[in-house]
Amino acid sequence: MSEIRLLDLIKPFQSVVPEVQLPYEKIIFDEKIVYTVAAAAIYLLLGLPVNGVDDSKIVDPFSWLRSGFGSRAGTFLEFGVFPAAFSAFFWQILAGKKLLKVDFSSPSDRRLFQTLQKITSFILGFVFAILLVFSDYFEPLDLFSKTEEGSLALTSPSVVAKSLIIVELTVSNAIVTLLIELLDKGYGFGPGILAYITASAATTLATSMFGLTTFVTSRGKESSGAFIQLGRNLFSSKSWTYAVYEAFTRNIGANLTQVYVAIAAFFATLYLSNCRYEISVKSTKVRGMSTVYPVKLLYCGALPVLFTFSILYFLNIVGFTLTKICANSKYIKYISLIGHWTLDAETKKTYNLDGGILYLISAAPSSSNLVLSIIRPFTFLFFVVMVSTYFGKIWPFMSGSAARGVAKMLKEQDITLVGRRDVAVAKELGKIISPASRSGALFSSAIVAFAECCGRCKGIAFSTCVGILAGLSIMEDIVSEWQQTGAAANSQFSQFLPTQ
Amino acid sequence: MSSSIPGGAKTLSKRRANKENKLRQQKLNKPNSSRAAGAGGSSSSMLKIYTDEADGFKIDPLVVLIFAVAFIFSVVVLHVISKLTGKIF
Repeated sequence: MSEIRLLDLIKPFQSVVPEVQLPYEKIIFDEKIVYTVAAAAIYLLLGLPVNGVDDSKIVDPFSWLRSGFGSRAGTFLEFGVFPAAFSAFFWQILAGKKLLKVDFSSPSDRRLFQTLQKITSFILGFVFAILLVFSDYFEPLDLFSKTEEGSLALTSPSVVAKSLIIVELTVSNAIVTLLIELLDKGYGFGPGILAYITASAATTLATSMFGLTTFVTSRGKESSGAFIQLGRNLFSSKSWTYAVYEAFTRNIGANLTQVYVAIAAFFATLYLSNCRYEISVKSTKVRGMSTVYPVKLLYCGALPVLFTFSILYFLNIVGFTLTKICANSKYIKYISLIGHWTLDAETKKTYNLDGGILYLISAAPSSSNLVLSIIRPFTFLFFVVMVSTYFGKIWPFMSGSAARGVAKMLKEQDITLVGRRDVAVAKELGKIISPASRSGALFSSAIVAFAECCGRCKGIAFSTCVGILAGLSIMEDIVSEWQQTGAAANSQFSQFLPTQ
Repeated sequence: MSSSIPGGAKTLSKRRANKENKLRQQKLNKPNSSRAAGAGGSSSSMLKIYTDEADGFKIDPLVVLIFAVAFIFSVVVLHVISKLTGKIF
C-alpha cells in the first residue's frame, strides 16, 4: 500500500456522509411494497417549484433529455436521478476498466467505493446548481421586460436569492440520492434509480396523453394532454379539420404525433423485451430436474439508452451553461463551437440547439444551416446507437453478469447446462450472452433514437422506452421475490395475485 | 553436489515465468465489480449503487422519508410566505 489511491482520499468523508442502515432482518413483501410506493410518492412530490423560480416561465433547453431521468424544469427534481445515475455509470465503468484501483473482494474497499459514488452524486448536484444559477437559467423569460439573454441588463437578482436556489437544489439532490439508497438497500423493490424513472416516465406519458392542467399561450389556453387538447379543439374550433390538424402539430405541450410515435416505440420495446433465448439447464444434484435459463435479448435492459442519454445530458448542461456564462468573454467564438442555443421563436419555452458539435448529436428540430440539418439525424442516430452498443458490449463485464459470472452463479446453485461439461459452461454461455447484450443495446437504442429524431418526440419516446424497460427490471425483482422466497404465504396480496 | 529445488519447474527462469504467469492470471481474475466479488451491486439490467453498509453517519429509513416530507413541507411554507409578502428577500 505504498501508493495513494483515490479511494483513500475519500476515507475522511466517510464518517460524515449520511448512510441508510441496512435492514436488521429481511423486510417482508408487503412492507417492501409500502416502502416502494411511499418513496416513489415522495419522489414525485419533490416536483414542487423551487422558491424564487417561476417554473412555468423557465426557458428549458434540456426538455428532450430530462424526461427519462425523472427530472422537471424549475422544480426540486431539476436534475432528477441524473447525478446519481451519472456518478454510478462513471465510477463503475472506471472501476470495471481497472482505471480506478478498487479491490472489490475487500469489504472496506467496497464501502469506500460506494461512498465515493454518493459524494460524487452530491457534488454533481451542487456544481450543476451553481452552473445553472449563474447562467441565468432560472430567470423567467418575460419578453416585455427582459432581454432574451436573461435579466442581466435590467434587474440583477440578489445574491441571497441565488444562493437560496443553490442550497435548495443541493439539499433536494441529496434527498433524492438518499431515497435511491433507501430502495437499493432492500427496503423496497428494484434499484432506486430505475424505480423513480419508472414512476416519473409513467406520469410523463399519462400527462402528455390525458393531462388536464392548462397553461396560457399566445393562442389562448391549452391543455397539457394531447387527447384533452384534441377535445378542446373540437369544441372551440369551427373547422374540424383544423382542430385535428392542430392537435397533431402543436408545438407547445405534447401533440398527438409525439404521443403515437411514443406508443409505437413502447410496443416495439415491449416486443423486443419478450425476445429471449432459452438455454436448457439441469440440476447436478437432483436427477431429472431440468428447466430453462432464459437469456433476454435486451440483456442490459434500459441501461444502454440511459447511459447514452446521461452523457448527452451532461454535455448539454455543461455546454449550455458555459456558453451563457462566457457569453461576454472573448473566447466565446471557441466555446460556441460546443453548441449554440437560440430561443424557440414560436413557443418561447425552449432553447433549440442550432449549431456546434452538440447540435450534431441532438434531436433538435432544425438549423439555419441546411447542410447541418440534413446530416444531423444521421449523426444523432449513429452516435446514440454506437455509444449504446459499446455500453452493451462492456457492461456485462462490469456488472459481473457476463458469461463467467453467470457460470459461477449457476455452479453455486448446482446447475449445469444440458449436454455440456463443467468447463465449457462459461464458453457456451458467452456465445449467447455477449451477442444478446450487444444486439439488444443496438435495437433498443435504435428504436429510441429513431423515434426521437424522426418523430420529434421531445423526449416522450425516450422516457417511455426507458420507463417500460426499467419497469420490467423491477417487475423481475418483484416476481422473483414473490415466487422464490415464499412471500405469497403471508402476504395480503395473495388474495388477488397468483401464488404459484 | 547440486540439489534441485523440489516441486515445480526445474530451471530458475521457468520458475520465474510460472510465477509471473500466475500473478498475471490472479490480476486478470480479480473481480472488477462488487457483484463479481460476490456482493450485491449492479447487475446486467439494474443500476445499483448503495448495497453495502458503509461506516457513515447511520440513519433509519423512516428518517429519510420524514426528512424528505419535512423538506417539502418547509418549501411549501416558504412559498406561502413569499406569496403573502410579495417576494422573498
